[in-house]
Amino acid sequence: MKLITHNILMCNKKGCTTNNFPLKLVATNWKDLDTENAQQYNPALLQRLCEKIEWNALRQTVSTLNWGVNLPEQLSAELVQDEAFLQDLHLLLVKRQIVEGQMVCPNCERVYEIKNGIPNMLLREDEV
Amino acid sequence: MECQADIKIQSESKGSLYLVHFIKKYKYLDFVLNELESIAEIFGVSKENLYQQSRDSINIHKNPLVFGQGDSIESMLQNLKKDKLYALLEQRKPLKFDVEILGKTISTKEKVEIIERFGFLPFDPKIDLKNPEIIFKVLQNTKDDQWYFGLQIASNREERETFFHKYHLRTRPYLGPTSTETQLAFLMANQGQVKEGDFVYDPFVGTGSIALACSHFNCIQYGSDLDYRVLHGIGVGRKNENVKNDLLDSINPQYDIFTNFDYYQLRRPEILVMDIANLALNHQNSGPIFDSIICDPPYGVRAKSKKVGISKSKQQKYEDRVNARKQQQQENQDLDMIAQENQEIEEVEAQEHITMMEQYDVQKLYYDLLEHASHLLKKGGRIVYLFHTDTSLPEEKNKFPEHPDFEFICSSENNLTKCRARQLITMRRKL
Ligand SMILES: C[S@@+](CC[C@H](N)C(=O)[O-])C[C@H]1O[C@@H](n2cnc3c(N)ncnc32)[C@H](O)[C@@H]1O
Ligand SMILES: [Zn+2]
Repeated sequence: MKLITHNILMCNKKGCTTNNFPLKLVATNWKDLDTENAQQYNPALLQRLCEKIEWNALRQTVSTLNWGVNLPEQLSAELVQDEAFLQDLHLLLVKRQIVEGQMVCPNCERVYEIKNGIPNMLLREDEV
Repeated sequence: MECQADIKIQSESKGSLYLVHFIKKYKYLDFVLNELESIAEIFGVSKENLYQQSRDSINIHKNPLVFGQGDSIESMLQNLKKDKLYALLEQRKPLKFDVEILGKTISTKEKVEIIERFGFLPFDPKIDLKNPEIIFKVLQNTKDDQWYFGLQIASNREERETFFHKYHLRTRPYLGPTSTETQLAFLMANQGQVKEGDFVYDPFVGTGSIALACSHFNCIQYGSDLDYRVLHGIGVGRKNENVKNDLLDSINPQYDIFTNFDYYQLRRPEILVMDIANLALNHQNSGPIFDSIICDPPYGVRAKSKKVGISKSKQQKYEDRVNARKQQQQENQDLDMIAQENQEIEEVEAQEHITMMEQYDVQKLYYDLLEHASHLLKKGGRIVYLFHTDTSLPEEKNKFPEHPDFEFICSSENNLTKCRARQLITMRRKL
């Protein structure tokens, strides 16, 4: 799972309707994919990702991850032209795959496991 | 085996006439025009106008630019657009002539006779039968007795020459019983007009066959499935022993849904274990992020039987068991055991002809799909999916899914048996 996916996931447990996004991410193991699988650095693609990203959720999540990247408060037109910034985004959004970890709902604290790069969002019978 | 061609499309654009010749290939004949129109639209060419550009397409086998046409060889030669043809000949590139009479095999002698009719051209051509840069095509359509002469722009008559040949299921390292057939998967990607950088979602991703086809076109692919086994490569999803690849073994020894993407060096998709009935995708905050949704919903569920209750509870028991064990964080071995148990259940069900859901539920599944798609798809985005019909069932059971936010674009039929067929349906999120 990459951060672009974490960026659209919420808790969908029965009754959990507010403050259920973004999920708190605990990344215990991650891997930076090589250029073959991750595709080359591509500014146009990153600009497109910027349009899709919920910026606050991304920034907040990255600040808890200790990956040595800090994102600015706000996305701006100048920023998406900035090479160094786009390189950071390339690492965060395209290359880095979270292989093992957990996502925890900030509201109900339901834990969603990530295994082999695949989060499990299935709910139990009594949770739907 | 190749059969007689029986569809052609011609249209006038920028003063040039193009001819598309489809080869009547076994099962996907009904798909060709829809596919052509979908691709044409990607390039900004409306239905009425010509398909101009070449893209990887499943059904388009020949695509000559026509220099002359007529109801006999004589009239075809008289109608030659000499300016265009001569400009090409002046380049003196190695070339060859190819003759084809649709629906008929002709001898080399007959071919040579036809080619010799072009002897009047004021050029001394550099013939190269092995590596021609230019292929001229003489084509007679025996149905309407028209003769055509033109430049061949694209052709993929031989399967092994096609772009999709390398994706053939038997040459893929990771497979499952549900893996969507390669050509169909690419037809679906083209119906969905998948382009570079598009966000594409398959909510029934299984072993990722459709996702793989879409990824060929360089999209950002998302996929989810209820069954974590097909995603993680446990039980149902398996390594294809015919494919040997040491590199693969070292990158990803576990063989899972990502394996094929690594193998073809495509961007890995984003994968989730998720139930379509309970999506955890946050469209409220993120908005409609997908450009297209392309999928093959479960079809084992096509109901004839009324013994729904039994199988449903079995299904539930299975899910409960899976969930219970997941909670205990079991090792793969145990998961394998569940897989096996489930297999047995499936076999029993097959014997009893019991299907998992009732007709109502099939319709509900499609409605749910469209309802989710309505929130997740950007306006104008396409949803492409397979839908099974059975003419032995009452008519209302074969009614295509509908939703107020979607308009129907087209459907293509792929017959499975005398009564049963699957329909490839394309719809568009209303603006
Ligand atoms: C016809 S298969 C699709 C196969 C896939 N195209 C492939 O290439 O493997 C249908 C898939 O839907 C999944 N499925 C069934 N019910 C589901 C549900 N409620 N939510 C999500 N996926 C479901 C099944 O596990 C199965 O993998
Ligand atoms: Zn929650």
